Amino acid sequence: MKLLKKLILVALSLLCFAAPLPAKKNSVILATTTSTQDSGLLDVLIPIFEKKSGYFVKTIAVGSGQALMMGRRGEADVLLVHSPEEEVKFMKAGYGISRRLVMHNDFVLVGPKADPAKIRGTKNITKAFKQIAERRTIFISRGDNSGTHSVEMLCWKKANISPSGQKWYQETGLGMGQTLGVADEKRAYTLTDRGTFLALKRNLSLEILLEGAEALANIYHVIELNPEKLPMINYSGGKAFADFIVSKEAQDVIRTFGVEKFGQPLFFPDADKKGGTKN
Amino acid sequence: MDILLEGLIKAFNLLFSFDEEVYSITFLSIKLSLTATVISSILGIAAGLYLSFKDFWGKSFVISSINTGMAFPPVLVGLFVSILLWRNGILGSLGLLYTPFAIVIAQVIIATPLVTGISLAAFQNLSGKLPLQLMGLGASKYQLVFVLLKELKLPILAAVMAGFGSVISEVGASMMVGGNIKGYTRVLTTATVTETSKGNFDIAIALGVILLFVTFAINFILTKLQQSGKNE
Amino acid sequence: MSNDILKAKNIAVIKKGKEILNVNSFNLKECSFTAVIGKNGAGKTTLMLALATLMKLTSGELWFKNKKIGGEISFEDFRRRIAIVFQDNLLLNETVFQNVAIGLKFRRVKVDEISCRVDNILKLLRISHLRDRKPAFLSGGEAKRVSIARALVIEPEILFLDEPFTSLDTVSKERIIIDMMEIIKDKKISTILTTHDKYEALRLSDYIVALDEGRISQEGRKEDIINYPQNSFVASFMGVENIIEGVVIEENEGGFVARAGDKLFEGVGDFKKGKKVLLCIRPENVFLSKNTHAVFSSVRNLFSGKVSEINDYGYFYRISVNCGFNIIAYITKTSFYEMSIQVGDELSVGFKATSVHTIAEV
Repeated sequence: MKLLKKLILVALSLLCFAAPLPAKKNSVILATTTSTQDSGLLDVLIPIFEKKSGYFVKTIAVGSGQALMMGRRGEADVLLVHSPEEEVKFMKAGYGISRRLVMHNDFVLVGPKADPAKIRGTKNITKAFKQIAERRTIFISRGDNSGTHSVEMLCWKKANISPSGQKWYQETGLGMGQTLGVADEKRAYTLTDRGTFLALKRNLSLEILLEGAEALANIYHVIELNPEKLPMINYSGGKAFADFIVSKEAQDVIRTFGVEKFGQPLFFPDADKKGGTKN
Repeated sequence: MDILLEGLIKAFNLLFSFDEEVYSITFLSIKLSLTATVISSILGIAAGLYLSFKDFWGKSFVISSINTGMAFPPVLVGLFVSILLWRNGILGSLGLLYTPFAIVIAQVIIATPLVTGISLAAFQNLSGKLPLQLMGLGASKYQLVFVLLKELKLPILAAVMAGFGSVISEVGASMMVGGNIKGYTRVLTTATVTETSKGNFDIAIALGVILLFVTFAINFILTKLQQSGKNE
Repeated sequence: MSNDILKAKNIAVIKKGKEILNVNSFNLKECSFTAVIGKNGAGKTTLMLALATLMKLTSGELWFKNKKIGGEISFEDFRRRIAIVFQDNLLLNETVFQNVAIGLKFRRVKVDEISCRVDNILKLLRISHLRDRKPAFLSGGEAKRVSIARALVIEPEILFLDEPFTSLDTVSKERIIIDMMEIIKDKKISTILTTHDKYEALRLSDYIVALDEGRISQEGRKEDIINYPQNSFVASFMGVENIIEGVVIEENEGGFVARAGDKLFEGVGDFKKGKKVLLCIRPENVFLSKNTHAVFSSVRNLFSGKVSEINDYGYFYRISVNCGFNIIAYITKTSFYEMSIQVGDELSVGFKATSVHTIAEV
């Protein structure tokens, strides 16, 4: 038994040597979405913030639904999401203490070149969705409570259609990039944010068939969590990040992000506009 | 098929251009998985030894649990460990979630039943009288364990390789408890997922190739160790 | 040299509520050879393991050279002064040299000394040519020699042998026993051997201990056991082929008369009237004659009967004669041919009263 105890000690010290822990106060857990992460914007913004503030940011990229849930449980310190309806509910319930507008981009409806549901040329998203349902052309949904998914569900609701369970409506539960891959394989329609689509365009045979509709605006807010309701969070760290992302410096970065690579920016900074709520 | 070729080319490019990010991801993968393998080997072999020689009430239950644990879905391990480490969880105050430490913990939990199960089978295959024979020739406890391990070099190293294999290639738990944070908890497997998600298939394949290469290299060394002295 | 090198006092082993060993006292005399005999399951191996401290005692004490094991001398130190050989060879997957050297390695003997001692013992046991061979390539006899070499190279103060020759063929066994005993006698190693082969026990030992269901049923010098077995197991083990049940009906001076069936037997010893007894007669002590009215001098027990079976045992013949009870006699080949005995012949059978070793029935 003595030998065993010695071995366990060796094992534990090995662990501590190989994987040392950083100081807790220093970390800020930022819950955001996979599409925001995948766009690469945060890879540029976060190092700037870390250098300035001395904080260590742990970016956890999940679906909007999960991000908000993490917020509710205090498992994150600040949220960067784009699911306005859910966010409002979130703020109403008192979990967030501040919600500020950060930036926006838009969603587009993409599909196969052949366009069997005859979407091309339509400007009305509701009409487009109706046509897809009528023609029973395959539509791929993310089905994961993400921001993209919420917007999609709103569109179906507006068109008075309940697509789930129907054969032509397929839910992947995957991130945006992979969902586009599936849609490409199946020559199907899907709703995507412009940023992800631009990033993957060269690998896909899909095309943008509908854009610019008002319902398709994708709006990002940064939410600071309520320390009274959630005492375990790093409030000051979260606030520091939120302040940073709406600052001029960050907004300038957002304004020019993507231009070099795609010829157009992926996001449009909005911090100076009126928007957001405070609790 | 050309995308595979692109991936291979990209892999060599990344490796030989000493791309910093790729190297740090690779070293992190190796460091964490090797640490987890060493720890679970120590725990697993010791447990296997103990279980093969001692009798106690509930022993068969413990052994069936271990055998079940060998096939336990790693992603479930990830989920359970996350639940423990959440701020609201029992160990939340330790602040271990989304750290490399958490990844090693999850990997140890995944690999230990595997190493234990295989070691146990190896020990049980030995004649029960062998330890008595060795003790009857004057072996101390340490000397006895040393001789037995040497005698069982073959299956024990197989157990270690199985343990290593199960963690170096693991993605679900590592993602959940590590958070896939760039430069901190991003390992080869989780990076592959991210790059695929971004649409960078060539980088994703490259990372996959590197992972294969690393796994092969380490297993090659372990195999050489295992097979030494066989053909005399 | 008549000190006790190993003493066991009140040792008992209880497993799963069952008592598998219970020995009040057991002493191994220095430089002597003790054989432990018993049926399968009598507890021979348990006793062996208990004495070698390889099995935990439920109660009792062991003393080595008057030092308490577990007290003045630790278990590990004691085990460094003994060696054990089992029925299974249990060799490691290494060369013969490395296998034999292992006990010396445990004792941290210097490499040159190991080399010297191992080569020496290999020579004594005639397996020098197997020095670099691995166990998979050894015959049963060769492997047994390695196992013995491994124990003897240590120069143990006590050597434990647990049915070591049981799985060997007669020829290999014979040669190995001779080579081994030479070393044991030369180095005067105190030895304990368990066996269920009576010839092994008889030819090798000075002392014999008989075990039955975990307890000692008889112990003593070999000669005493042979001539005066105290229970039917020991008796039959020792080669007493004739065991007849009877009841004492008359006591006389120094002896008695017992009735078995409708026959009367005369024996010696103090047995009371009415006592149930077992009359044991060694087949070597039975006289035969073709003269149906023969009178053997000073033979009090005289019967006549028909030969029912004849067995050729190589060096002698075993004759079964039915006298109303079955009696077995061993006679030499010469006598056999002289008398030209055949199945069905009528013979006179006789044995002395002093040849009747009587055991009280249990």
